[in-house]
Amino acid sequence: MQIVVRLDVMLALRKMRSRELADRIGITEQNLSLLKSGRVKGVRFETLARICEVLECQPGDLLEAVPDQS
Amino acid sequence: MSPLSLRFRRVATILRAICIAGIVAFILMGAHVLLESLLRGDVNGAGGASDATASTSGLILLTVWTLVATGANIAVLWFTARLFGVYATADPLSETAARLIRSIALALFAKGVISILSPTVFSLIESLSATPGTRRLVISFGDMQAGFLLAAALIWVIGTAMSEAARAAAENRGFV
Repeated sequence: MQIVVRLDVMLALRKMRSRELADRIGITEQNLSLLKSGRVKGVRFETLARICEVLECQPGDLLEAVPDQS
Repeated sequence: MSPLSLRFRRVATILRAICIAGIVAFILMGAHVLLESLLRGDVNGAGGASDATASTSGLILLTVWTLVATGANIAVLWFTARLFGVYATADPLSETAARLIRSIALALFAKGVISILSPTVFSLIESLSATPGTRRLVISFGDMQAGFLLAAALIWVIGTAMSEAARAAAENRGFV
C-alpha cells in the first residue's frame, strides 16, 4: 500500500489556490507543492490539522491508501 | 534568518580569518626555525639544551620532525577554519560540519602524540652527536599532552553526536 495525497482535489473543490493555502497554514508554497505531489517523507499532525481547518475537511479527505502499482 | 544566526555567522567569519592568520603564522614560524637551525647547523633552537652540533642525520631528523609538528598544527587550524567556513556560509547542522569536527579531533590527537614524542625526538637528535656515555633519552608525559588527547577524544564524541544530529535534521527536513 502507498499513501496518495489528494490535496489538489480538495483545493479544486474549495476553489482555493495553493499560494493562499500555503499562506494560511504557514508553510512555503514550495513545501506545499512537494506535499501535493507526494514527494515528502511525511506530514506533521500540526500541518495536517491546519490544512483540515482551512479546507474544512477531514484527514481522510486528503490522504488515501492505494495498493502499490508494482 | 534570525539575528542570532546572523551574529553566529559573523563570529564564524571572524574566527575563520583568525585561523587562517594562524596557519600563515605557523608556516612562517616553521620556516624560520628550520632555516635558522639548518643555517647554524645546531639543534638548540629546536628545544635542546646542550651545545652539541647536530650531524647530518640529526639535521634531517630535525627537519622532518619540525615539518610533521608544524603540519599537525596547520591541520588543526585548517580543519577549524573550514568548519568556521561551513558555519559562516552553510548549514551548521550538516554532515560536512560533523566530518570536519571529527577531522579536528584526529588532528588534535596527532598533535597530542607529537607533543608526547617531541622531547624524545629532540633528545635523540642531541644524542646523535654526543660522545658515548653522555647520550640520553627523554620520555615525558604531562598535563599539556594529556589535555590534547582528552580534547581530541571529547571533540571526536562531539563530532559523532553532531553526525547523528545532522542525520536527524536531514530526516526532519523531509517532513512538512
